[in-house]
Amino acid sequence: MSIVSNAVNATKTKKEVDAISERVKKTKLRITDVIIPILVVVILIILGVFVFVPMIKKAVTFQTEHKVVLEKEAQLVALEKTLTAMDEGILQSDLVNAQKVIPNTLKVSSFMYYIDNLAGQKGLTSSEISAGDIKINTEGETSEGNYILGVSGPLAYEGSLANALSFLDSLYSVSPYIITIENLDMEAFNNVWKIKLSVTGYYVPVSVSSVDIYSKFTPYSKFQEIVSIFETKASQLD
Amino acid sequence: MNNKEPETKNIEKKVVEQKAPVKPIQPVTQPEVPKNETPKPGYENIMAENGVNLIPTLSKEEVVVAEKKKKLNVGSIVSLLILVVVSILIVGFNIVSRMSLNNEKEKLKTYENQITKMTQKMISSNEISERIQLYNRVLGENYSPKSVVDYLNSIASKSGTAIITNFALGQDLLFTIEGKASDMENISKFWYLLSNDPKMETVALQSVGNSENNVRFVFKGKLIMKDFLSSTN
Repeated sequence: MSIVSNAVNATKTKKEVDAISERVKKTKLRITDVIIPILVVVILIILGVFVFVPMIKKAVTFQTEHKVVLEKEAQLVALEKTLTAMDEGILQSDLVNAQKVIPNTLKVSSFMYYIDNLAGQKGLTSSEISAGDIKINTEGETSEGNYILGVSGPLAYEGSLANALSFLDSLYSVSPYIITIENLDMEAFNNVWKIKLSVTGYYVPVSVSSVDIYSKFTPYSKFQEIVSIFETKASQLD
Repeated sequence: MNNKEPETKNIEKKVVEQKAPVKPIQPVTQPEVPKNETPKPGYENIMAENGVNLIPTLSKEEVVVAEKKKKLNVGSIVSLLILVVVSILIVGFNIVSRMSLNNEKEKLKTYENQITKMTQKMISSNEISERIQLYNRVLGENYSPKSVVDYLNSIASKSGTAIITNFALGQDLLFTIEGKASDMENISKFWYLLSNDPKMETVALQSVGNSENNVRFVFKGKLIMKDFLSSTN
């Protein structure tokens, strides 16, 4: 009986010892226990660097682009409002007037004919007349870059002082064209005045009919005073 | 990882079950635990199912390691959760941004189409504006030569016998006038009047000389532009 009980005890003890050692083994921190957290961290870093950062960057780009698009939208809405407010009929009429006063092309012959005719009306006699196309280099934007185009030439007339002054006045006030006078020289010879001057008439050549809808647009109606001058001058040409 | 704990318990149970035959040899009366009282930690390790648990309680080091394992497990789950949440957030943000941008782009395209239909108005307006700019540039600082000549003549007439016989007007209202007077006194008077005129910026007597019946003079000067700016152009 004792032999059997001893054997049973020995088996039990062995099993208990095995169980203890098994448990001790399981309570030990092994590499397999930390491998998942480490893997998660590594994946998080890899995802962060290769997926998240580019995605965030892209999202930020989208946001910036979105802002730009919104600004453009606002600009177009304002432009649409301005253009809708413009009356097509009035616009065309004003354009015709402006093109009459500052034409797309100014023929030297017709310009000189107008000046000479005016001088004749004021009782002056022509002593010298010549003209040609000019390009005036100036700062600012015109349809030909930094150039203003015109027809200019030295003129000389003779007559009384009153007639000469009336002629000069008419060149500005009555002339339908946009004219400037340079190098005016008036000399009296026995009550006859000889006027020498350079007269320039301007024109704006036809520009390419393309327009950037995002460029700064200033409606011409803001300069109503000058538009009225154009209208007056144009009516003199009719 | 989380299944390890129950396994351990199973083993414990098995070990305890193994002790069942020992019961009749060494009967132990299990102390009664009050129902409302929670058993002390480690108590079940000692007494289980009317038997003696010979497995020793966990040492402090073992408890620390077990705790560490537990923390690591929890940390892993939390990290995974964060990963998922962050992923969802970033992808969501990205998708929302893209959708919003596409939406606005479509709107912008509609506006562009509307404006394109009105470009002729813009072209016409720009053509007028270009002419207005030219007008302002060319005639912005322009004066009437008649008013200048008249003004200089009026000063000359105030001086007495001075008469201007030659006017030369250049840019920025620079002028040269030549003329004659009966005597030097009239020329000096004329000079004085020119010098003290409020519309005169500068003036200088260039030359003066006697001729047979009169005295000739040449003045050079500059008038103040703003006083002669023409508004009738």
